[in-house]
Amino acid sequence: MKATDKIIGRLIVGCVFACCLSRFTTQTFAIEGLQVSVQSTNAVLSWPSDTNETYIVQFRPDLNAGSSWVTLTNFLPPDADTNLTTYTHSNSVQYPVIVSGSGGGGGGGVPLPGGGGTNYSSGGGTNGSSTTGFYRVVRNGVFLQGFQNSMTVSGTVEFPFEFGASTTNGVPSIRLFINGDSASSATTDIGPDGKLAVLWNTAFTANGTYEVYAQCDFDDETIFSITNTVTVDNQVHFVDFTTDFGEQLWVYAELSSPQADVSIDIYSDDGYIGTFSTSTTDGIISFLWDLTDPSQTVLTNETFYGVFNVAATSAQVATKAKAVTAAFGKNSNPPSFLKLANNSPKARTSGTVAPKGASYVPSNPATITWNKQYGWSGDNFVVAWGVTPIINNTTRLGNMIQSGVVDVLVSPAIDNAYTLSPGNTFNGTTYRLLSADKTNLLEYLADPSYRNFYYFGHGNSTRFGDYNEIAGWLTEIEENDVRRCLDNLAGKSVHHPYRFVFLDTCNSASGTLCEAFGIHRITVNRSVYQYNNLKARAFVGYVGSSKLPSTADDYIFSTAMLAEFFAEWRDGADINGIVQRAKQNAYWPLDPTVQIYGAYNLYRYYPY
Amino acid sequence: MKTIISVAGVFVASLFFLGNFSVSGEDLKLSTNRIILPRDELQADTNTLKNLFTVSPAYREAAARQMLLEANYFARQLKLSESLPVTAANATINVNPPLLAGVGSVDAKEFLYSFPGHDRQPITNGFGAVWFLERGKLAYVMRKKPFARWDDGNSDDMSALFRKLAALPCLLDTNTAYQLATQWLAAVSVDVGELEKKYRPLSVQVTINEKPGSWEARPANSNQAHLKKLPIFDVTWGGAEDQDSPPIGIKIFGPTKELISLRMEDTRFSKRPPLVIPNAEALNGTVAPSEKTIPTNSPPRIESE
Repeated sequence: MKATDKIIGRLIVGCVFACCLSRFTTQTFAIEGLQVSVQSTNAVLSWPSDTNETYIVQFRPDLNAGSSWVTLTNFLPPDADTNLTTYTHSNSVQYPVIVSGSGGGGGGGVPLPGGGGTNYSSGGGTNGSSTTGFYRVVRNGVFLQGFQNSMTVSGTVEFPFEFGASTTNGVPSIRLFINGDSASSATTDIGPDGKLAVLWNTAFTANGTYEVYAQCDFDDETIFSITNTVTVDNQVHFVDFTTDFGEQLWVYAELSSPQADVSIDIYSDDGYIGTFSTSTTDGIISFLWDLTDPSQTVLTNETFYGVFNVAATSAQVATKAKAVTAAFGKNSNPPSFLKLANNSPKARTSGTVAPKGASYVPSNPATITWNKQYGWSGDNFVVAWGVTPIINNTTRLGNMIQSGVVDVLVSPAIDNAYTLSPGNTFNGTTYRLLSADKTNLLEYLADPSYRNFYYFGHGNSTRFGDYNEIAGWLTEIEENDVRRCLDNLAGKSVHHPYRFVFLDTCNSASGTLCEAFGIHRITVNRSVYQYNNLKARAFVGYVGSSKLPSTADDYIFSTAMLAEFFAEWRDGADINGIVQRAKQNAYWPLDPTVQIYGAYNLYRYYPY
Repeated sequence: MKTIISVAGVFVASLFFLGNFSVSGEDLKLSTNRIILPRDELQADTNTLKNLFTVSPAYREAAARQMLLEANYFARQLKLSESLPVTAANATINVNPPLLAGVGSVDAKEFLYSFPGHDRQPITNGFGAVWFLERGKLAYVMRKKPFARWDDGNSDDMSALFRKLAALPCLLDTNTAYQLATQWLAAVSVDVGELEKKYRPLSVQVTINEKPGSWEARPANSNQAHLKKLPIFDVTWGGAEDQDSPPIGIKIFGPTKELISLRMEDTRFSKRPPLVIPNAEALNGTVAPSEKTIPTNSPPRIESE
């Protein structure tokens, strides 16, 4: 399954080309200034370099689909004492024609689209009949365009990225780390300019100076960007005020100006709702909104977002109005006529948002507002898996889930046992997710009688499913697929929260997949849910790559670990204890990047 | 290969195992205690690997019988609202393979009686508390639907249920709840004196926030108007229920003075003898496993190699 020495992502291409290609698509953020010349029978490449970078140099004879890039060197260090690195491809020129070209980068990477090559400029001597082929150079690791040391950021910043790795094994995901913690406020998405980029809403990071780097996780390799010191400076700093309980919305923000007039424009799916106007003398904005609009209609299923307009009134701070989008929803609709006239509730909350002993993780601000929750019935379990291809191991995988999960959870008894989703039978079959089954699986998930879910397979921070390194995703279930089928759409009410989800896929806890299942991206004591009138729930996933077993023995070891995990769950142990013991499993320890969200010490028959 | 088998009513006399790794005809090397073999030895002993997932009918019956005895003891001593005696006819009995997880659990009509322990040494729970779930000891007794009379079972927002519960007359306060809890512990042979030498007891009446707005576990000032007490008490040793996962905790329903749950994450204070399955090795090794077959009359989910 492993494919080595390939470069994926947005790759930089320089080329020596003596045929009739006239123009490639420019890849503006690739290595600039790649030069190629021919000396005797050698092609000599040179490019501006930096002392803290290493490079991958690749070659392909043509652009035919049947040909592939050949890695000439990997982890090539930059030349010392110069800002220009050279690489000589010996005896690569087969015809006595001297060609030179230069370009600012380009793509052609596999498997991600990365642009089409470079601005081609042929050198003298091209006779239109001879060629040496194409070259490309990419930095090892992750490279974020515009990501600079000592930079100051505010609002939402966009870093288009490229990455070079020696593997394509697994589905890569990129995360931003701020002082060593994965930042949920940074997501990978298509940026405003149409490029794949890291989008970081810095308003969810307190003002200050941080060590920031990006990390890309493959199944068998993790690559990093350089670490830069970055200063965050925003007029408004948000915490996870978007998480709501019951029938209210908690709005919370910290302002850089302690004395300020603030107006908060609230929007929903249908447009503008109204404005809260208030002022502060301590820089804290905190109030509860009962979701009643000016016409006294209680909103229930709306998507909300807010725009904070802050005018500092302190003499020490220049009076300046600055609008910051409080991203608890999507700005997808124009404002409408509704007006909430100067309704400024002052129900100040007290205390910290982080309970003692629990780690506080801000929720992805762009995803949720949970203002109402709906009926909860059933305790059935959806179990599924999907990995392709694992040559000679698919039967083992199927049996692993059968014996480690299905047979543990299901019972031949009529009463009390978990009822599993179709395709899972005691000592029989396990449900394998195939392409045709995506709809079925989503239907099972959507069935209100199901409140528990286990999935084993490929995944990343935004999706899970069945993946093939050559064909890509065979079946993928994206976060929004789950949100839609559970009616947990971004910003909407959580209609169908899950009690317990174990998403046994790489980086399943790195993003906000837990929230698609109605499980808060925060780690708290189970009592917190009871205190807030909600049924407790928990999510188990990974913030890194989890390994597949390889040997026959390892399949048994991993099966044993899974069997213990689910036997303990079935027998009433709490999730935290189960995870702690699984991490210490003598045979196949649970991956140390395991992460619990929601109630870390939930157990099966917890009464709330 | 079969992993963990659940039985109700009758003990199913079939064995299962992973087809890929099936071997037969060799003696099983099991005991009543969890066997931890060095990895190399385990890899070399394919038969033992296979046996990780094997439960013989004889072993299953012996383990189930012992768990039922202990479950009935706890049910009587704690005066639980359970249909006694708990038997294989009115409960699901989950028996784990001797080499995996705990002994298992008895899933009766009203309560779950669980023997989850397979710790080899004390562990920290990640939040400072020490746990030690010893093998063979009953550690959890949990009422499965304690509020069924008041809960329509169709609400995620618990406000409606909590309003009903809060209106019920409460027969306990924190002192009497503590007294009841210690009586129950003593009744099931927990050394309360030894327990309290190590852990300070704490008795708390459960509070809810009628105007929730933050991820707080406990109100800073319990006299705030929007806070409401429920007739439920958490008596814990080694930490508060809403701050930690205490080593021992009892949850009591005030209107009926009935147990909601008893959870012992550290069973060393329980002086009940652990379950011992006599001749477990022989019991689990006397029946040769048979090949597991995958039905072919349904759409295949497992790809052939």
